[in-house]
Amino acid sequence: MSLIRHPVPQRLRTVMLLVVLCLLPGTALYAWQFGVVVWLQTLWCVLFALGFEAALLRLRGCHVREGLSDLSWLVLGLILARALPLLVPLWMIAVASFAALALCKHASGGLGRNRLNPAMVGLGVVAICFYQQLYPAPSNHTPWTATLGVKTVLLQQLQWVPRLDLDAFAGATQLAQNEFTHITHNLSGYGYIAGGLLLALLRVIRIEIPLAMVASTVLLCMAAGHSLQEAVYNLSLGGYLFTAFFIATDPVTSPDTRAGRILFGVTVGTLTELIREFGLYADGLCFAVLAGNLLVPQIDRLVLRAQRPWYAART
Amino acid sequence: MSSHSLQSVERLQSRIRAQRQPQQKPFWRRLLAIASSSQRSWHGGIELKGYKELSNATPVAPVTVGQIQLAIPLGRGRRFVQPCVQPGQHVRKGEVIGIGDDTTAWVHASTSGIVDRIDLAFAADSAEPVMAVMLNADGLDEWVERPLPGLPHTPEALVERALQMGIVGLGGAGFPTALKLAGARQPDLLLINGAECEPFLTCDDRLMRENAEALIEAADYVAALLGITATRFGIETNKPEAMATLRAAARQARTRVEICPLPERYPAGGQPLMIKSLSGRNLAPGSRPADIGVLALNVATLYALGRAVFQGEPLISRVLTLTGDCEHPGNVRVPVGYPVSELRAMAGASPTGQMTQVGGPMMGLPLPAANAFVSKTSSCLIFGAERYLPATRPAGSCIRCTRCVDVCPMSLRPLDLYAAAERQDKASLQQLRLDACIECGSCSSVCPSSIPLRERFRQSKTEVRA
Repeated sequence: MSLIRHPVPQRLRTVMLLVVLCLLPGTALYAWQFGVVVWLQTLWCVLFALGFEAALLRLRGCHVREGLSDLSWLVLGLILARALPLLVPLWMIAVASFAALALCKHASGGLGRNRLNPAMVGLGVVAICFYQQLYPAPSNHTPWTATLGVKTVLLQQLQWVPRLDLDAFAGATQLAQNEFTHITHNLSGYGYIAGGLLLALLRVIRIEIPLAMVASTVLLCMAAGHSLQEAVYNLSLGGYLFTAFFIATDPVTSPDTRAGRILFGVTVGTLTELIREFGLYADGLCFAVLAGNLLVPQIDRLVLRAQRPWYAART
Repeated sequence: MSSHSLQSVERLQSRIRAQRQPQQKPFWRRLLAIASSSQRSWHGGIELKGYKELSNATPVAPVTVGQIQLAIPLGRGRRFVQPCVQPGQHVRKGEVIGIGDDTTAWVHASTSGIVDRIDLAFAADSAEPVMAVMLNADGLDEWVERPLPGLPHTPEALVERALQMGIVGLGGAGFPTALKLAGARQPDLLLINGAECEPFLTCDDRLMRENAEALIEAADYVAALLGITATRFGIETNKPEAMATLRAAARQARTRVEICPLPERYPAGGQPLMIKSLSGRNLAPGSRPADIGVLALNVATLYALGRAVFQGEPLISRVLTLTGDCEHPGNVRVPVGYPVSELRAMAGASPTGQMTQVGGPMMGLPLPAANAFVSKTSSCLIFGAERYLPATRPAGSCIRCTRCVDVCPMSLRPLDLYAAAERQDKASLQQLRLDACIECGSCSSVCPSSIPLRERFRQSKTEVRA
């Protein structure tokens, strides 16, 4: 029994389960728009995460069941599934999961010791190594996978049949593109906002990171000469809201203090916008988050030096 | 006018300015203070369930000593007195049984009887057994002759009286009050700590409600003797009756003692936080209240000091809260050295198979042994504590959720401190201000991975000092 009057989630497992639950509305909306492929990709990611986590725990000589009981692998699987583009081949999912768990999480010494966000490391590795295959979508604006059935998707993921002719998709949907207004396109974003706000209310994530991130991106976008509408539309692209609420807020890889977190959010938001505006990659979120993660110890030290506790104030 | 007196006037003015300065906050800070529900001068802390209603309804009941064996501790920590009684010797209540040096409070028999032996015994609030005088009470409880002593008229006389009457801090630290009084170099502020921020404890609450006049009188006396200009009682807002009684008593005594509310937030009674809330002064880590012109006393200590000064009564009993899973919870005035097992029977708690917490649930410890006895610093017994306290779980990994940073009242970063402690990195520990930690345990209680942060910090503090 807790002595605290307004208890916050008390156990690590509860915290992880809450993240999973709050991820579901966004994922469900995304699946509703983009078809069954979303669920299949999620399933694969979770299975790979579970397998690699168990194997690596065993390899490191930890207690496997105890290590799995914190459910961090489930959260990683769900986040990675949403971070990867749709309809990527199965081996690529495996490579990303392996990079996230082996190279990032367990190589750093296990849960809570990694400096980089594991999901972003997984995505970053495949994004750099297999850029051509990773972004096959003819256009980000259309739910081009919505009509694919389970069998087609599975065959595509296992690469047992030749790749779908994406140009045909592009051609077929080119005309329909304009029918997708901003509102229909961004459905999953509302789910992520709702889930993120719920997590913030439950004190699982800190709201200042997404706020600082969104604000800095919008302001910078407007400073670059875009209108406010364009700047806000910018947020709906490429899983920006998902990243803001569920990836950048990862407590392990974000700063300790509120001032630090605001600084971190501004860094990530600014870098994202810079990469989107001037960069080579289609989406800079992954690299912006990784760069922000690397700066966390510096931000922490800066805040520690700048902020004096109340009892050390000169009176 | 001589230059000397001019200087002293200037010093007085600067002191008054220093006193007023912290209250003049910028306009926007004052706006924020109005907007927020509680006016606090520090951040963090946690709101705890009180459980005060279990034991605060009934008046303090005296304990009648039968023919049982008492174990009166001869000190605490590193401060012990020399026993001055022999086995077989008959002593009466209030008789000196241990004489200390200049830094150790004397020890007195808490009832009449025959000294059995001098042996190691467990005090309720110490993990290690301590030397104690085992006294076979004769059940008569007869006082030694007490010639009514004159009032001490100098600070030195007060220090001597406090030492010889065995007064120690009853808030938990057990520091000899005489040393505190002697170390106070011209204080200008007397702060009386009646916060009682720990859940379950109601001994100070009852004491303030029932002995308000005596407390005000004692506070006035100490302030007048030491040349203190302002006296403030700090009481958490969950004790409105105690505040009202003290206010009425202060009005009746026509004194300028102020009764100030403290936020109902653990650990509002922690020394630096209490001083900050009541005076706005900053108690830097490693410095004592005396360094910033403050004399801080617990209400129970002040009451004992008043009894010693006005009645010549040594500190041989204290108010103790009996609470938790028992039939007759409440407060009792219990003689020092009284066995816990007797109190358990008195409260009607089941004799075995339960965990008993001594002190509050946050700062206290489990009862070290079933045959432990009450010491001067035991404030509370929580029977069946496992029903109320959070279950202990094995420690997991830190996910840097920074809840500990949010709740730390001293604005530390417990998670970084913990990492530095694990690395045994003394430079980092110092840079992260380990010395400012008041070991309140707020961080441990909110950690989702159940990491024993406070215990680790306690350990590292001794390592750093070594």
